[in-house]
Amino acid sequence: MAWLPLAFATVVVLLPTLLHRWEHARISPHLPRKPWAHGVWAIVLALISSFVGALFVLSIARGHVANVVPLGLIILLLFPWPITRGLLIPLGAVRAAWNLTQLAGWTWRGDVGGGQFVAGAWALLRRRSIDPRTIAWLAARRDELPALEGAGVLGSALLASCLHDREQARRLMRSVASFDEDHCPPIATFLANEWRIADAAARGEWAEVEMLGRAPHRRSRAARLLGAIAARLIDYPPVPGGLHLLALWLLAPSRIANLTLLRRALASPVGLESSKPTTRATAKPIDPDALLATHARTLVQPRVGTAQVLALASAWDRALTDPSLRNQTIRRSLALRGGDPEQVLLELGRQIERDLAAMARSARIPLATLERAEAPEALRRVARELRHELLDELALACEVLDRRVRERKALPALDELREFLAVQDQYERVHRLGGGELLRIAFSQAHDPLCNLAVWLWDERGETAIANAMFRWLLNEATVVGDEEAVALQRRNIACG
Amino acid sequence: MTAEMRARVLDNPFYVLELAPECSRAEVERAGQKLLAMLELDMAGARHYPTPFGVGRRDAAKVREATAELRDPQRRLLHELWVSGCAAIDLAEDTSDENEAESLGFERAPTSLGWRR
Repeated sequence: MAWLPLAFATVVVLLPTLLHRWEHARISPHLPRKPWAHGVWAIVLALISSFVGALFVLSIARGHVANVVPLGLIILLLFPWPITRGLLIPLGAVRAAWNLTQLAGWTWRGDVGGGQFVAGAWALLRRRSIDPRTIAWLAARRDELPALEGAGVLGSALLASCLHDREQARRLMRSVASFDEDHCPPIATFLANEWRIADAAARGEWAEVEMLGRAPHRRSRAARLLGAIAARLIDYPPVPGGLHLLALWLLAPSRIANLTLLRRALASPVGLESSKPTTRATAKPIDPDALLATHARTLVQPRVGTAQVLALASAWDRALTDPSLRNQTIRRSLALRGGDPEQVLLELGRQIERDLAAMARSARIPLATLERAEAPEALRRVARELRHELLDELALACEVLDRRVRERKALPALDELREFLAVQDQYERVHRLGGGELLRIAFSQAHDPLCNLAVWLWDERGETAIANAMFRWLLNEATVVGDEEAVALQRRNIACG
Repeated sequence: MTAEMRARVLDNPFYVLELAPECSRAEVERAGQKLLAMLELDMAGARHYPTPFGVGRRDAAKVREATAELRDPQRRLLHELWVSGCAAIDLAEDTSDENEAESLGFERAPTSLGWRR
């Protein structure tokens, strides 16, 4: 009769598991589809499984070694997400991770399909080489999801990262924070935040790392360490001391990998700002050759800093009116017996201005800095151009989107979200560079097209999760610009669910 | 920076023809003819030229364009200004290094947080 407890336990484990799955598929006659019901059912299942697991442990202790197999199954049932996260994802086992996450209803708050997609995409990201067939398989699983919610967007971002589309991945990850709790499990928000911290640290955007890594929401130990290191590197108060950093480093995983960064942070002095020179030496006379060399070197650099552009523009402002450059050009013109030096200097000035405009764009210098009274004339002209450009680009993007929505040309849900995020990105660029003054104009341009898109998705397409995320973002922006009418409208829209 | 700007710096006709800014018109013609012949014969060294910013790639179209640019005194004067300036390239070295050091990222961050192997 040794088989009797085994049969009993198998039935006790299998039955609740099947019921649990049916409940996810919305065909369970036992429980309504409510979040609390998911929680209660998961607790009941966990208690039954724990009890049965304890019986198996006792049985194994008495010498029934065969019971190791059902005990293993019980452990899989009890800890599906920790096993997926700690074992299958690091191994890059895409299908195994996808399958086991089916049991992680508790972790993914019922959005099991989205969780499976995230687990699969993450496992794929951990592989050494990425197989296009696996990407296609995962994309097909995503298309089978009933509606795109927070976890689906997180998985899509991971898939974009697998395809090395970092910009798209970044936008999608940022949008995960806009989903409300009903449409996005906390673990999706947590993972999106962790990914953004890692991505910002890899790019050297330490201000962003500090903001995300020290925010008062759930963070991993590694994220806490990166947040503190970022604060130390950019000297952002409260600046963590050496001992604090050391303690965080000891607590975080991957200590060897983090050691170089820790050393760099410890080497960076605290209170650097006061010792930094505010301006470069400007009293020195301008050497046109040296300036041309600096300019040419800046053009071939991959990244340009704000201070560098300002210093260069200021130097050019003086050099183009300096007699030595003019004299040098006249001398060469006489030697060549041809060429109008005035025209050459005019052409040089035009080239310089075009270059400075491109550098200002690339360095993302705010318009307020370019338009300051003491800013060089060349940069003030650049600022005027940039102001028109920023608003024109946003208006164009909004117009294209609005026309498509009016013509009811539907795209897949993820592409609709991408279109929204592209306009949002443009809008945020206007905000970043143009400040509050341009933001009001930008909001008045972007509000109606984006709101129409969200309403269409909610009313006619049933994509309530992404529509709700769009309403929430619009409400936030309406509050920032102080548009009372839009605030009231978006509050009503969000109340729809 | 845009590809057009990089090209303007790297494809300066004086670099393409490997000439000094004070060269005569005859030297420009000779250098152009010589390089076209070398490219036609596919000789070693004809396909590349040195610049203070790295090695540039040369082809027949680029050589013809460079020769035409230097025949026009107006255009030549402008190119001369850039080339003579780039002789003082050491001065530019300091600011670029400083900028790179400021924006240094931590490439192993995705691995450290478990996103990549």
